Amino acid sequence: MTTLRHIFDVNAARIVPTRESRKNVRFATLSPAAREELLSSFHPDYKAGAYREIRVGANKGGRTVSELADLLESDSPLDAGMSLVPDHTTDFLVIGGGGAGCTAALIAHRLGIRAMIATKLRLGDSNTVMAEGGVQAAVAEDDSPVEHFKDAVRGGHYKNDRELLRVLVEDGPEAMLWLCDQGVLFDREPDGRLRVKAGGGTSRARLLACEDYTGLDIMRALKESVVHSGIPVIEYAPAVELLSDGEGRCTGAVLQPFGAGENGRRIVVRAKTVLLAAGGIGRLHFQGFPTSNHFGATGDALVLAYRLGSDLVDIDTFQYHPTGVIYPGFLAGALVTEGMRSMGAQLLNSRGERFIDEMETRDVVSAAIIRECHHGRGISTPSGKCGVWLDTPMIDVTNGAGTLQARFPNMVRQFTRVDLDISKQAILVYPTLHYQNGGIRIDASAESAVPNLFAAGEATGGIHGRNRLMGNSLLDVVVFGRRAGAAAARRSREIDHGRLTLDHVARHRAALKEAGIEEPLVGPILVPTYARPRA
Amino acid sequence: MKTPEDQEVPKVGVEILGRTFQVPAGITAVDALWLTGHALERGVGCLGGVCGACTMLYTTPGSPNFNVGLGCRTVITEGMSFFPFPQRGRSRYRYDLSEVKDPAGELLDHFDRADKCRHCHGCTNVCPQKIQVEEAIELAGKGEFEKAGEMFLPCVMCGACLAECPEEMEPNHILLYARRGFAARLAPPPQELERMAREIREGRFAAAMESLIALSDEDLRALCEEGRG
Ligand SMILES: Cc1cc2nc3c(=O)[nH]c(=O)nc-3n(C[C@H](O)[C@H](O)[C@H](O)COP(=O)(O)OP(=O)(O)OC[C@H]3O[C@@H](n4cnc5c(N)ncnc54)[C@H](O)[C@@H]3O)c2cc1C
Ligand code: SF4
Ligand code: SF4
Ligand code: FES
Repeated sequence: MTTLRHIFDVNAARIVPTRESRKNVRFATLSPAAREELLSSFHPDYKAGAYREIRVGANKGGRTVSELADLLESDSPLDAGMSLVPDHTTDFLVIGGGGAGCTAALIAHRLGIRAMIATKLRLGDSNTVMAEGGVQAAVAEDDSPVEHFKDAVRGGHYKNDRELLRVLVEDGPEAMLWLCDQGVLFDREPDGRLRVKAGGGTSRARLLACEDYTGLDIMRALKESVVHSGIPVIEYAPAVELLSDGEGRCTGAVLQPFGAGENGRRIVVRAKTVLLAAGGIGRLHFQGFPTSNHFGATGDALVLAYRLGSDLVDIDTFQYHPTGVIYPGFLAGALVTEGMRSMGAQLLNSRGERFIDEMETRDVVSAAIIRECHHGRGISTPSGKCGVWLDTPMIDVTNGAGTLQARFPNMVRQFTRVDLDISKQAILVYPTLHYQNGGIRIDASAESAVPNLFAAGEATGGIHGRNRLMGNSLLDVVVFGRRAGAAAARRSREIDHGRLTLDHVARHRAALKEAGIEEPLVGPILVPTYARPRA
Repeated sequence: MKTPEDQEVPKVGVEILGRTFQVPAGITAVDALWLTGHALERGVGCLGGVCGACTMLYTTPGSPNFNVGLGCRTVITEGMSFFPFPQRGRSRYRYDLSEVKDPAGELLDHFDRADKCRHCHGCTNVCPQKIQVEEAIELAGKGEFEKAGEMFLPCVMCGACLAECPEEMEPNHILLYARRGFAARLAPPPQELERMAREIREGRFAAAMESLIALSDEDLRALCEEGRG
């Protein structure tokens, strides 16, 4: 079998000798017009054929990728006449046990509110645990929330919801202090000050990190905190439908535990307030892209909120992270953190030439990689894919031997398992479906258009506009997780439990019929179908 | 996406839960489970080597010992025999970090078996993340929480060391406590964050922010692109 090492050896003569001369040389940045041109020619968001119109619901007439449109037009797995006698009653039901869900539950619990978490896999099996690079918070002397805002709004192509973005950057430092109290240990400089790193599209060094295990350290601490605080958690029990009082307010949810079978026992939860913190969508593999996301990232939050009448924003734009592994195949889609590029790793085409400023925003870098492959300047893999080199050894060349191992132990480990030494050889990368830029529209208290239904984290839209910067998602998860927890706690004190109905499902079905949609999918899909029927 | 990609890849024989299958070389144990019709909803999480949901036990020909690996990151080899590891890694202990004042001094109050290590190397041997667990436990016992917590960073809480420890010490939970305790109480306070949070509360940036938000799209763009390419 051809290995990555063989492919590299063939190309090494064009890469290795130029390393010293490439060191610390910044590739020319693009003018705004050139960026736009590159994006519209090569970014997957601009591929008209991959998109279609949505035919029902609050975003009717809008466009999104056809895989998501199919799901927004999917039918509920539930029989509208099913018994809705609650199995559990709580004040605050949190759907999704990732970063945003755990944060919100902890905050509400501290405020004396009964919270409960229902999650698809195990608590903490999520996109949050996978985050590598870091989280943004303005702490440097020359930095401020204002600079943070400017970077994020530029990154988002000026389409961000400015009120939400303001909340993000102004709550940021406080939210990071809360993480420290939860036992998250951010990297320090030898003198004890917080270490901050540069990130793509940021004008200041603003990333706090735990080497390249940032999400792991955060998730592990939050998970332990949830378990130790006694908040009830139901695992392997994805939500398949929300419940409403028949007058548009959210009053609970129906869970469908795995393994119970098609008609298995479902769990009805009655709650005064509900939070959708069910994360992203990468496992839908839009346009055939590999993904960096965890197994349960199938866009369920969007489907659930949409059926109950919530509108969605910016769901026509997704983040394709420029550096996903493209070969060896078993790592396909796996993320190579942007931090590597900010520490000096460079992108090279098959001629050994650089072709883009590595610190451009992600959408621009991705488009540039796709362009190189499109014009035959990529490197072919034995599996018929195409990629470009990420010259990881440049990190040691730029910063001194041993830096790669010291700063990216996670990344080094992933490759050492298959006997590849990425301090010596470059790796092959191609964009990977990484992040859902848009999502459920929320207000500054994280409440959706549906009263008593809150949403936080990757499931929401508006904060990041049309492109999220590195490190702003983990921040969003904690900032809006905290806001959601506090707001839901306040609301839960003010109101009583409502009636439990599936009226909205009947309405949705009528709308599907009226739009002439025959045989819709059944959604949410909960997990991707990788397993083959048993031979 | 996770299907074997090379058309002509050689096959290898593996034993999954006692049954033998031929699968393409170069794929992971999780891929092999999927390919052979095992619908795994409970045995996978991140698919990225950081959550521990796919922890498995395996043996390889010629070695009598079992190994612990992460199924989503373990490439199968000829003759490998494996099965998912049912351990959930739940702790018997409970503590509230916000009430912990002196993390090192209180270690035995929260983990009453933390001083029972008999140096059997079990935890270190099973760790799929190659953490020197035994050594870290010893450091934690001596109150060296910083070093112990640092060594612990790559832990995915797979629970293998917890299951292995003959003294039922729960090494992973002790080390997580050490790391969290160090972060929350012993590390230098994050003064930069405290300063910035205070300045924001006091409204130092409020006026600048107001005027930024009020800008027209065009002016905002001009301001943000200023001094950039
Ligand atoms: C590989 C990778 C690296 C990243 N690196 C960074 C980084 O360096 N910095 C940064 O800021 N961001 C990063 N991100 C993005 C960031 O990690 C995520 O966007 C963020 O953590 C999402 O948090 P969340 O709580 O909204 O969702 P998640 O953490 O994904 O949690 C959602 C939870 O809901 C569960 N769930 C899904 N559907 C249902 C359902 N129907 N019912 C019940 N539960 C359900 C999921 O299983 C999961 O546990 C990265 C993402 C990935 C994938
Ligand atoms: S320290 Fe224990 S729980 Fe953590 S990865 Fe190693 S064996 Fe698993
Ligand atoms: S397994 Fe338990 S007793 Fe053995 S070395 Fe590890 S901590 Fe000590
Ligand atoms: S599925 Fe998370 S470590 Fe393998």
